[in-house]
Amino acid sequence: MKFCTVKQYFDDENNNNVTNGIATTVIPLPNKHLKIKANNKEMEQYEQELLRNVMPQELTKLILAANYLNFKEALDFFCRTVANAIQNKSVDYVRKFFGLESDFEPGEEEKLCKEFAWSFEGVDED
Amino acid sequence: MDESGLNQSSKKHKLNEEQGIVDGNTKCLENLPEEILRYIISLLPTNDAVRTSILCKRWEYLWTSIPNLGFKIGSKAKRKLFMNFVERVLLLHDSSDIKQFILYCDVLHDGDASRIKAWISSAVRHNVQELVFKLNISEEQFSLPHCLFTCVTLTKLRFYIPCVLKLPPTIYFTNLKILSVRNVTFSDDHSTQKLFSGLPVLEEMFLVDCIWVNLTAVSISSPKLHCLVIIDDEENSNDEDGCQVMIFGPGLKTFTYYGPLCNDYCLYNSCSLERVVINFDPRKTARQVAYRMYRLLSGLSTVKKLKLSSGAVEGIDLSVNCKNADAILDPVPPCFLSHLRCIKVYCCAEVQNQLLHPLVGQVLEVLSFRFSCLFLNLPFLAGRLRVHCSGITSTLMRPEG
Repeated sequence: MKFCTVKQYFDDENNNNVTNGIATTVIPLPNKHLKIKANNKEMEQYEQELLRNVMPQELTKLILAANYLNFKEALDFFCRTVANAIQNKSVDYVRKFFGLESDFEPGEEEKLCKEFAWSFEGVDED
Repeated sequence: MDESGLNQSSKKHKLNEEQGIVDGNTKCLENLPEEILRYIISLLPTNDAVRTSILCKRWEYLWTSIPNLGFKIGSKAKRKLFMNFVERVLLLHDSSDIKQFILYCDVLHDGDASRIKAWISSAVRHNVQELVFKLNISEEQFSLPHCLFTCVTLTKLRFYIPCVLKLPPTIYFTNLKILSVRNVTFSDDHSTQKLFSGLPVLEEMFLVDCIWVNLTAVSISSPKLHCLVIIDDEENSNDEDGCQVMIFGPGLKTFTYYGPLCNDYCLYNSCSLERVVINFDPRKTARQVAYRMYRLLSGLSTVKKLKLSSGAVEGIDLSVNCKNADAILDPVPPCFLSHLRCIKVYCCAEVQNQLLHPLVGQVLEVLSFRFSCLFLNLPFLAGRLRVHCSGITSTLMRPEG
């Protein structure tokens, strides 16, 4: 079933103008699908590998590809990888990870910090 | 072949096109569609999820649709911050369903109690499915919001409330499958019976360290119940009379009891019962307790696997050897002769053969002992019976021939 979707994607690509750069990741994706079906330990190792080698940009593409192909397990796996990467990390770390910049007014950020003060306890420093 | 060639070239073209975009745009992860970002946030623990609101303006309210909320109070010093945090999160949460709500909190005074009730009501309004709360309460009694007890969406409810629980007049959990009640003091027969009767589709029930002193008789009769675990605390066994607990379990498959048998537990109509674990320590060798043991075992009409502590075996001995006028007719519970296939006795220091004699019936296949068994003399065993001993030392004596 999954390979049919992939084939269909190739066909579609010729006809539509799909420009989000999924192309480079679709070919390696089926191999990764097979890996994902492996047991938990291997999945953990793969997750570590992913975090070390794959830049956030690549991860984005993987997530988008999984989403497009409607491959739920892969999507779930990649999203969990991202979630585990940012868990208990400082705000600056997470901003860097996602490539975000704060666009709050100077006072607003502090206000939010205060409102949710309890959740900032015990967070990893950078 | 040609097709793939075409694919290759078109891909190359796209790659080049894209290279320009990628170099200029390093904010790729951020450009994921909103549903995916929300999904990633929903995978985080509540604290992390809420903290994402501070990343940038676009993210300020992305977390508000997370379906699972978990709040566990840490140090008492941060108590005020904790309460404010929970309040704020619930206030800002959008109208989407809350699937799971976990709250570990202490209740020091009335103000806390009313806040916590408001939070639970809020979860119920958000169609909560799984509710877990552990409340350290310093008051003598506590009541939960009435809407909780008629919540249609709830499938799992676990609570630890170490005081008298005041129950409302109407209790009906349409979809509750798992109920776990810990350390609760039941206030009276009527309301407790209402609770046990308002569980039409319940499958698993756990009653742990509950205090039954205020009760005289209740019955548990959920038709779909297949697993029942009752654990009583040694310390709460002061009451001589105990409560009569009648368990009607047409669908009951496993029954586990740990405790001093402070109540009279009787199983009726338990024809599906397969596995029973009884861990009983007869510190008090009262006749009454032995009688309770017998009554309990009498209800096990079809059990195939029985796991007993050594104390339970002693209890059987006591009940079997009751030479009182009050003792019931047949000394041996019928199931043991016709259905019991496997008996496991654990934690035993020494097992006397005559204690086990009444348990051995025609179909018994496996007799298994764990931990240290010092001496076993089992002359009554048939040849086909397999006996396992595992533990520190075991000496097994079998009859000759």
